[in-house]
Amino acid sequence: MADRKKRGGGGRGGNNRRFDKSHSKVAKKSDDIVEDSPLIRAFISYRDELNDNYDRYERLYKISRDITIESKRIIFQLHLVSTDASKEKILEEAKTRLDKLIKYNFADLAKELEGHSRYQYVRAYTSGVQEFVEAITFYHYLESGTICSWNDILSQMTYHVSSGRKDSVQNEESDTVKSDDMSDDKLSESENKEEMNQSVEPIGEERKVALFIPDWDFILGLEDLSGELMRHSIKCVSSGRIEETFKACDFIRNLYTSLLTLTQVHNREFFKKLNVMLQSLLKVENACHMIKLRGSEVSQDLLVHMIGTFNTNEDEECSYD
Amino acid sequence: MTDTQPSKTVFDGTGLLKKRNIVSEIRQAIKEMKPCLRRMSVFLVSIFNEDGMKMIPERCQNARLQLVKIRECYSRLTTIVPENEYHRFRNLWRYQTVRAAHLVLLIVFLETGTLCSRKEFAKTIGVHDDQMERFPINNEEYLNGLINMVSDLVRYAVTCVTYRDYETPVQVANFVIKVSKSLNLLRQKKEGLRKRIRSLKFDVKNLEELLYDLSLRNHLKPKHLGAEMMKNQD
Repeated sequence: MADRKKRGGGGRGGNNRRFDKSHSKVAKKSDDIVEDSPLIRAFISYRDELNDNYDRYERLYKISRDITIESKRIIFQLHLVSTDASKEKILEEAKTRLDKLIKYNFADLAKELEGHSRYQYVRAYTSGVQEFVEAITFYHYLESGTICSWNDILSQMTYHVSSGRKDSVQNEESDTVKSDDMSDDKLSESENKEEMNQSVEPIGEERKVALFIPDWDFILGLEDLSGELMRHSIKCVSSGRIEETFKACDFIRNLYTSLLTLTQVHNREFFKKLNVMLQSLLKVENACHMIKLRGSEVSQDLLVHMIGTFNTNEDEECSYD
Repeated sequence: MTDTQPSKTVFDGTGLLKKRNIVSEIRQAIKEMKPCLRRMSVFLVSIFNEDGMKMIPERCQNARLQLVKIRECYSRLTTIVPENEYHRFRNLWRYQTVRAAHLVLLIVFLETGTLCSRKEFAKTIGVHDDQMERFPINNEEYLNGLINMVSDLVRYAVTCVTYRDYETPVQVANFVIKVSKSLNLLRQKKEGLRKRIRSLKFDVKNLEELLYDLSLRNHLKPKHLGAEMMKNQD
């Protein structure tokens, strides 16, 4: 893993160099046109601003891609839980990897974004954040069977904190997140946090860099989580842990119904993903149905086979729609 | 989903509700801005006929009167949009800003024959030029407005020739060539802007052909032509 990291870092450095080259090229060009007219001067300033925007966007996108890749790997690793016996060990390793992501990659993001308008570069890192949310919520599900609070994650993403308070950026919509915590005390906890967070600008005497992530990314990441849970639950059938399948089924169903209550939403991606979520939910429900109906009649191997065929039929039907 | 009992309901949609309210307020402000922009363009469109061409200063004055209301709308937008969330809602008024830039730049050119810089334009509509401000003027919107304005200028030059004004086209051509040169200084990364800047080439070409036609028929005074050549060599 260390190797991978190194390579990733090297790549990034190389690209920075490339950016610099293009910079100098442009600069040469402007030297050629030594016209000191106000028009040219104005345009040179526009150009510098645009270049700055584009380059920052590009750098953010790169970081986001690193996060995506690492998150995908973590998810893959977490899937081993359903077949491997050493659950604790896998979870522990996943935890350290997730922490590493927060500690380094997200810190890079935060530093890059510092002092810029909040929603300006949101599009550059949304995919990475969504994948990360998927990974971390999946981890929490496997560990405790609940969803971690978004505020908890965000509070970890405040860097260079020297003052006592640890609140991060305002996140107005993050209350929706709580809905997904099934436990009530957790809910009230994040409620309090929310109140604390509001109207607190992270500008203190000491420099403090808080990463801003729109809450959308969290919700979209949650929707992706359902796909992982579906795979997890089906795998659990094959390894004979049927109660796990039922648990996941309930969990996805709860998540789906809570997301359905978001009626104020005008986000196309949200509905697209919600549809996908429903498909995975149906698959898990069908699997549960199979287990209940025929579980006592046939052997385990056959059951797995049956669920497999059932689901592939389902897939074909979907593709014809 | 009401926000009356956020602690009890599992879903608290205040954030979403707040966003929706902001969006509807912004829409309202933009709705009021639209007719002003349309009226402005009506005044300016009249430069493309013979009568209008003779009274450009009056037309510009008329068009400028609409700016008062537009400035008001922008100041309202400034208060509606929360701190730090400019880029979240920017798409809502993007088109209007491009249009405003187009019209204001056209007015300034007709009045003074120069390009209104982004700073001046920002001042005209009452927003900030500094990108770090709460409600800045976006580069791309300004540049798109500029390119729209240039294609209008080509049309203006053609009209001028039609009504036997052979001096203005030369001015216009000088201006357009300078602008297109400056636009080429930009790194054209975004597809939209790149396409627009590329289309500017055809505008320049049209103007050059126009000048060629004029000079062929001896309609250009040597003074103008000389100036034109000098500018091109730069």
